[in-house]
Amino acid sequence: MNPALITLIRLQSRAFVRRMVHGAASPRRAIFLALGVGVVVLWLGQLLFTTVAVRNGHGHGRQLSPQEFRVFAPLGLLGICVLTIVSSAADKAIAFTPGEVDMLFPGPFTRRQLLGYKLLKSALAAMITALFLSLALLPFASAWAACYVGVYLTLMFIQLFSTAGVLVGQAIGQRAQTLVRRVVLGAALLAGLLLARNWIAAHGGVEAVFAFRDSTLGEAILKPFDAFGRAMTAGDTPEFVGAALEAAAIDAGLIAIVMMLDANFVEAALAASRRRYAIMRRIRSGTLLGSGVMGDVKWHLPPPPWAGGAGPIAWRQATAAARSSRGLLFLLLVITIVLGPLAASVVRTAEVGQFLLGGIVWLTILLSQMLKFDFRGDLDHIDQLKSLPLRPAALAVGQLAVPTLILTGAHLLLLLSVAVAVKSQRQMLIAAACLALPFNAMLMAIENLIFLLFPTRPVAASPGDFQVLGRQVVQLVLKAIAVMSGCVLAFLIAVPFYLLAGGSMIVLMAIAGIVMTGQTCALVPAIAWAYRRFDPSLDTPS
Amino acid sequence: MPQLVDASDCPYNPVVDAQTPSAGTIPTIVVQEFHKSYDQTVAVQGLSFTVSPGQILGLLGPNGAGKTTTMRAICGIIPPTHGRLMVAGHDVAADPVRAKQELAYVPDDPHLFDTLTVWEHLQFVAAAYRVPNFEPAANRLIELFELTEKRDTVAQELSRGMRQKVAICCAYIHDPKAIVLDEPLTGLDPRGIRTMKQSLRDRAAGGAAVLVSSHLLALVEDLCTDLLIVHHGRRLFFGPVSEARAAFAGLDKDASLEELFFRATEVPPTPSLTS
Repeated sequence: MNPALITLIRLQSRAFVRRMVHGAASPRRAIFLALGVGVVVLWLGQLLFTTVAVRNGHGHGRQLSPQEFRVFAPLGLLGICVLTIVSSAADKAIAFTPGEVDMLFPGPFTRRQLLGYKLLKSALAAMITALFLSLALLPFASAWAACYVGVYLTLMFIQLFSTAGVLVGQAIGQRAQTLVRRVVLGAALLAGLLLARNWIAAHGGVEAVFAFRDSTLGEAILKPFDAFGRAMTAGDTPEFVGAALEAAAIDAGLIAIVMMLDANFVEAALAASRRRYAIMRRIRSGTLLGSGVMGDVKWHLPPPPWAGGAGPIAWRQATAAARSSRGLLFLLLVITIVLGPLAASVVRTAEVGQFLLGGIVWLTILLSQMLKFDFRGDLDHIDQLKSLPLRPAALAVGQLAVPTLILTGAHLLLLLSVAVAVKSQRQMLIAAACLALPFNAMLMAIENLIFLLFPTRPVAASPGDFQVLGRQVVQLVLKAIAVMSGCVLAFLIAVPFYLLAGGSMIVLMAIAGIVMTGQTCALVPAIAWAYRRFDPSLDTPS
Repeated sequence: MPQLVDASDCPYNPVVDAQTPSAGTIPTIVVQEFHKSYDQTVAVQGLSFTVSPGQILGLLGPNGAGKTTTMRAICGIIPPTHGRLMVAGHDVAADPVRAKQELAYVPDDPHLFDTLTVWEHLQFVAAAYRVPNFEPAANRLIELFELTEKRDTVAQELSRGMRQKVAICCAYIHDPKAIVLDEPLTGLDPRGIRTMKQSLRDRAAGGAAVLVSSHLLALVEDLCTDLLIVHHGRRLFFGPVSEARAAFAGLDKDASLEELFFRATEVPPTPSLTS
């Protein structure tokens, strides 16, 4: 491989370590790092404890023995490979970052050198991933070292299989340009699908899988996968060496295939890199479910009212939400169609409350992370926002308005769906509806306050990036504490009124809603303060 | 400790250090003793200058000289560590809303709102600056910058140059008294460059104070009435372009701005300058 590419990998590895170590220089990042390490240590500790307990016969429930795991591992691996092929069918490209595309593609490197660089990077990343996975799979293994090597070789196999699949796909695509070739290819694909369908029809769902495993064809197909399971679960050194060498030989064979194929992957990788970057941007701006607005737009929202300066901001966010809401509307439609009838048919009347609470919590967590039509989606526009002649408090209100209203709309839709389907518990549903707007306003205020104090970007975290993990844990815990405190306070104040009103749920929720509204009003100056103190030159995360 | 250049390093003759703007009226932009530091690094150290109505001040300096930091501070985007920044008589720190009302800023790489159209950007900015009946002015601007065909196109579909034009149109829509532009010509085509330069001259002639940062020395020479050269966060020269050459020893009166720039920012201090 080109020495420059090896240097690049060395520098990137050093940068990864530097980011981890230097990141701990500031107190805030040191806390994130410590918490991230703490979470991982706790998780690993729990895994080791379970493993030891199982081996000493103190574990709860039945766990797979290494022998049983060995039987299922090839099937699992085959499933992963099939999924990889299916999932990459629409995106036949090797993943390069935009930086790699801009810096390496025009560089003096051959396609094989670039492939080698990509594979070496994957191999290094797999070393860290294997560390965690091997600990997670320890209960099924006889020795950790064997498990680690087995998992590492398996991860490499999956990566190499995926890369080979992509390159084979491109090679076939390049060669299947004529109509006759396309027809032959399509016919072969159709025949394969028909065979699979007939097999499943003859044997039934899960049984078809086991029948496949025991058939001659199944044994032949699963044979290459078998070595990986044996390497992970080897009981003694000779068995491990034999299985590991077999698995390593399979990986080496795949590397040879990948290198020999030498398909022209560059253009596809370029396009895929752009697509992935666009998706990342949409995740960051909270428009992941968007339809990807293209070209000219024929409709506009009416001009905004001034509203102390909040109007134009809310109008801008509302326009962005409306433009990219097709996916969101679909999601809400599914919720409406599914959850209401589901509540009516599956859940007993007495349990509707629990079902509803679960549904609301799930919907809230899901949507509150998706609806970034506020400061969270405006991280790259803070300069523009700060140069506008608007008071920070007004700007904060404008930013909170749209996600709050959309989330409230989703909640009301869910409640309506359940009300129509269940036809009981009307008082509880009305009471919950009373609380939707104030609760969501408070939630969004907390989300934005924490974001402005601890600004982050969604990043593709590398394995072992404890700081990212720690940051996510801190933010989650902070949010949970703040939201819970707000709710507890609101209900503590509301309970006496509830008792005075003879146990009226509507009174309870209405008073709690008023208190939550008060809390949101109190949070607006705090958000404005956090926005004022946000220094884009210091606080904008990379 | 902060890393600073010694004041004696500046190859600049203090006698020619003009504080008075060429237009000779009450300054629209006033920067007094502006400091900005980040932990151990000092980005800008004691910078003072003014920009008056009609004046086009070219802000020059090598990369990392503190130009963008200064511009962002004037626009109220980042707070100064020390010093006072005024726009149209309003203190940017004490009265930011009124200061920003009179100001327009075009960053070097403007991030537009991806899902808004060109027209909606103007609509939004007009609403934020409370511009009544903005449509005629907006139409004139998009016509001037050849964006008429892209009026209803969303920003993410625009090229780099077109996004720059949209940002410039947004900056002009409220007739600002102070215009701050960071590398305004990036991505513009030749016609766009000509339109941009002429529009800046027109705005200045109409009474706006313009501050332009650029590495394109030909642009600065062609457009600016005054120069501010900064290096390592400190001022090396501030005054009319016509007086710049005389300010540095060893430069003849026909020296190009490029020679002047290198002389100002690279020549080590000579005894005659520091004594």
